[in-house]
Amino acid sequence: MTLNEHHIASAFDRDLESLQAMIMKMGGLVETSINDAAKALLDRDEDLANRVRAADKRIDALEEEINLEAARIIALRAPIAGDLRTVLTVMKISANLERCGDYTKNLAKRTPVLVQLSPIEGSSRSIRRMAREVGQMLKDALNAYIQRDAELAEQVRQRDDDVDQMYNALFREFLTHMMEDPRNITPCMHLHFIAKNMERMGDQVTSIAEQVIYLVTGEMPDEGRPKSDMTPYESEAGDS
Amino acid sequence: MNELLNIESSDLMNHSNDIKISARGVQVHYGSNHAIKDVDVDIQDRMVTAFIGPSGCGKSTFLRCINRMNDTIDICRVDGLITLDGADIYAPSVDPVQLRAKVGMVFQKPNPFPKSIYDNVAYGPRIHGLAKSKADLDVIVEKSLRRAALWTESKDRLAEPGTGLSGGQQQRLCIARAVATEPEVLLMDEPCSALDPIATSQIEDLIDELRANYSVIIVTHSMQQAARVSQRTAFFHLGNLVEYGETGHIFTNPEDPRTESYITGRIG
Amino acid sequence: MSDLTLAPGDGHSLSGDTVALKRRRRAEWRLKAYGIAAILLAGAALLVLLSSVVFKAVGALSESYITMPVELAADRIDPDATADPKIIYRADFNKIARDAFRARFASVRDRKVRRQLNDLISVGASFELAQKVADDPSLIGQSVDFRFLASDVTDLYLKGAYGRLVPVETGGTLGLQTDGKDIEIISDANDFDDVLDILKAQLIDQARSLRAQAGLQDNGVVEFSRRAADAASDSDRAENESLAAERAQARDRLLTEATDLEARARATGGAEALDRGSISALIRVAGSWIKLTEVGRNRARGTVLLPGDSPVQPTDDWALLLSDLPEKARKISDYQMAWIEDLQAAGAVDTVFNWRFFTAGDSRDPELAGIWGATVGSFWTMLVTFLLAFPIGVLSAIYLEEFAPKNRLTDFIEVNINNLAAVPSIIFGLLGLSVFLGFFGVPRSAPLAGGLVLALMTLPTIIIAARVAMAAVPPSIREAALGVGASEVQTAFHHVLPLAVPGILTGTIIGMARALGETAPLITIGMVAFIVDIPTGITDSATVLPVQVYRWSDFPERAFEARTAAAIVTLLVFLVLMNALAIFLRRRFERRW
Repeated sequence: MTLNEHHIASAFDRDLESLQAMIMKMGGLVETSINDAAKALLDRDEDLANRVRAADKRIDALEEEINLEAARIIALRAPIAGDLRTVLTVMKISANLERCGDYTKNLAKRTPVLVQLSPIEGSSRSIRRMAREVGQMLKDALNAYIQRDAELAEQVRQRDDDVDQMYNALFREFLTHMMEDPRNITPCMHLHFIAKNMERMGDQVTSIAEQVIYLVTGEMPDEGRPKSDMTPYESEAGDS
Repeated sequence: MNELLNIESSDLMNHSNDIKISARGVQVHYGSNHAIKDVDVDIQDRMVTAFIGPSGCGKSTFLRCINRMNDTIDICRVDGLITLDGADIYAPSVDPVQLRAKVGMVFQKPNPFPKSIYDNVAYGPRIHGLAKSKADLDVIVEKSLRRAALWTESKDRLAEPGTGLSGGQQQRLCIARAVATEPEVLLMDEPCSALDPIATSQIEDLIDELRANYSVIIVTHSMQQAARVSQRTAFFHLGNLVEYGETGHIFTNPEDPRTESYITGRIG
Repeated sequence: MSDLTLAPGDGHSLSGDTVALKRRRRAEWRLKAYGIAAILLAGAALLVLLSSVVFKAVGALSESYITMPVELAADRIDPDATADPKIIYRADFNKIARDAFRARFASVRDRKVRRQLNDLISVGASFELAQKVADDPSLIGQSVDFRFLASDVTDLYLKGAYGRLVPVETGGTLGLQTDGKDIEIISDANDFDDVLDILKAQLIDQARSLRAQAGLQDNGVVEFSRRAADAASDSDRAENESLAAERAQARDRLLTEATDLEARARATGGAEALDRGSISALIRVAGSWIKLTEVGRNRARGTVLLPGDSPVQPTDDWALLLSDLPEKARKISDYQMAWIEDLQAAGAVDTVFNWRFFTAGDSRDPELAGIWGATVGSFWTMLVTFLLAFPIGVLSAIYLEEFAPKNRLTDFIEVNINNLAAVPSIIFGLLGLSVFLGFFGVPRSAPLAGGLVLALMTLPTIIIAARVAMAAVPPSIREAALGVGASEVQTAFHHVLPLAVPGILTGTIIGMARALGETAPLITIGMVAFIVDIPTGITDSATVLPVQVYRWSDFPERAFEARTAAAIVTLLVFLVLMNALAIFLRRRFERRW
């Protein structure tokens, strides 16, 4: 928190603004990708899936641009305190967003394969629900970033719990499907990976939220991060 | 980031960092101008403390209170308590001349005496009677020049005038002159502002060496310099001491919004 | 902010002879011309001043001596052969000297003419003879050749101050006939024509002046006649008429005289007499000198000034010499000129460099006067001035600049010091007279009194110069000294003062040079008495160089003109030396900071 919004050197303000604009743009692209990929899966739309894959290139290019710009600002402006945190968090958030983009691309990559295979009942809807939840989390995290709202970011952080729960449920469901019928194994494996990627995206968004909290308060939030992914502890079907 | 901070503070804890200079309720008036308002601060020994703040905030004024240089200005009035090793330096029994031998000062523009390099360094010990013979004096001069990292460059030309050195060397000569009287505290008023970047780096490196033996207080306009050189930083604004703390903390996450505004370049 | 940008091509061109450029160039040229003209004017004035003084002073650089054999008879000097200086000095060496000259020019009989012979040498010459004999009593009883210092008139004549004897072309053979006192001179050529012409010209001049006087009388006649005509009463008219008649009489008399003179002048023949108002005509023949008293076409009458060894035969080898000035207009008589010329011809006169001027004290006789007394007096006075003004001045300046609190009292003191520097010097003289001489009883005319007065006068200059020099020392030096733990006294004396030394020295020398040339205050306290002895201390009576110049310029003797100018040159040399010393010391102590 500063007494004055603006730096005495206005060029510094312009640099920081352009950096943050790039992040918001990247965030918007990722949001769109998530929605499109989920929709493509639900509607079995191969073309949309391909477009999602192509769009990932733009996301990657943006991440590179953001890194270059951040390095430039550090070299030329020697930012400290709040400004330093701004630049550092932008770099981490762009990495997080780039991973999200990759996960979405992976989903889009698997979509044409799944189209060939027999559909698993209710799976795409569940995936769709997870995607919507993650997308909403991302939107809120980016809003929290732009508005420097630590409380909103904390809320986003807590919602990862739901995403984890959703993944746990899907995991068990897929196990059941696979045990029922060996022909379900291939599509279930793909769907599982997709669901796992969704869950990881949730973690990435949570990381974005934590960066926001660090940016605003100057301290990383403590380890009270909900980690409800119980799947590593799952043994043979039947226990839970 | 926290991990780094932890290492630094434990490093500090290993040395004896007693309070060397303590100020309580210090007010300074220049005529009717209230220049320093109610400053409380504890300066620790064997550490570099930086005073930062915009022009006219009173950092140089407060610095000059510590060695009573403000006594030479008629309209200047100092109230409050400033102690060195627990003793009030403004007590009537204290001789400012003796105090200034214990609290040395280096100024913004290098100002060696128009004498030889040897005589520049030897002047202080001579007038304070610190050397009993020429041999003693030679030892003191060599030790001081070594402490100031100037010995190798000057040992073959001690009889040449001090004003014939380069800017950075002149400032190191002034530092040697200041340490020649065996002070316990070194006050530096923007010592690098008249020097080029290489000389500045050399002086900063020297300051880092000096803190092994002295308590150093440096007033600086450059926040990067304060960040590089000091372990504790005090931020002055309009005559008030706004924030005082560990340097890394001040520059990554200051408590007071005024501090953050100043160091990020939003107010000046 | 961007309103002030110029489009490319706007603004001033770099080259090109615009009107503004021409005007500026002319103005610059004019300024340079004024500056050079001012310098040239000042330089010319200085040159004229210096050269006129130096030119006049040259005359004082030499003195003349007449060498004459002297009989040092023992019975007149030291009858008892005691060789005691006291007895020797009591002898009448004046008479001994006079006798030596009388022996040389034995033909002189007349008392008045003898006195002229005595005036050839200085009154101090016989004292020098006494000194020589007292130093070496073995000379008593011998006849020695002694160099007698020539008198100031003799010396001036030898330097040509009274004009020279100019020879006239002669072609004829000279024949002389004496009839006891006078001599009849005959030349077979018209050699005396020139003299006659000069005399006749003089007559015309005289007639002209008589006519002018007559004209004035005539004015009186006219005036009184008019008054008589306008007179109101009879008595008035009668009075005026009688006055007019008086004037008319005088006028007529003058006119008659004038006419007579003109007639005489026009007459081709006849002889004219020469008197003291006419130039002197002298004939030198075979070692004898004859002064003409009457001149005709080819004959003249004259008196013998200096007879030769043998009676003169008719000869072609003779010279007719005319003086530039008549005897009335010069202090040297024809007799004296003849004697001096004779001595010179005999090689008895020599002119040497006047070291006496630089080693002797003051004297009423110009040929004996020297400036050494005044120089030593100046030295003692300057010493007292320096020893008082310098320490007090410098210490006061240190206190005022470094230690005094900046309040109204200090400002008041400063203003007063600045004003004192402009006070006329004679005021200090009056102060000295009333306080030092009157109240404290300091001996009058002593360098102590003069030094006290001059020290007071020089003090403000030194204080101001010292303060300025110390104020010019940058405060960073003071801060550095204080920062190292020097006290204020140590800072002032170890650091500020050494750096201020060049300025202090300059101010001191300026003040001392002014004091060296001060006359008015020293005259007021009485350092104007006639001091012959060289002062040996600060309580002896003394005088100083400028006062000496003032006194000598007042004396009537013509020889003092050259000596006054020489004393001025000496004073100038001292000032130049003091300035050179100042520059040298400045260079030596100059330290860069």
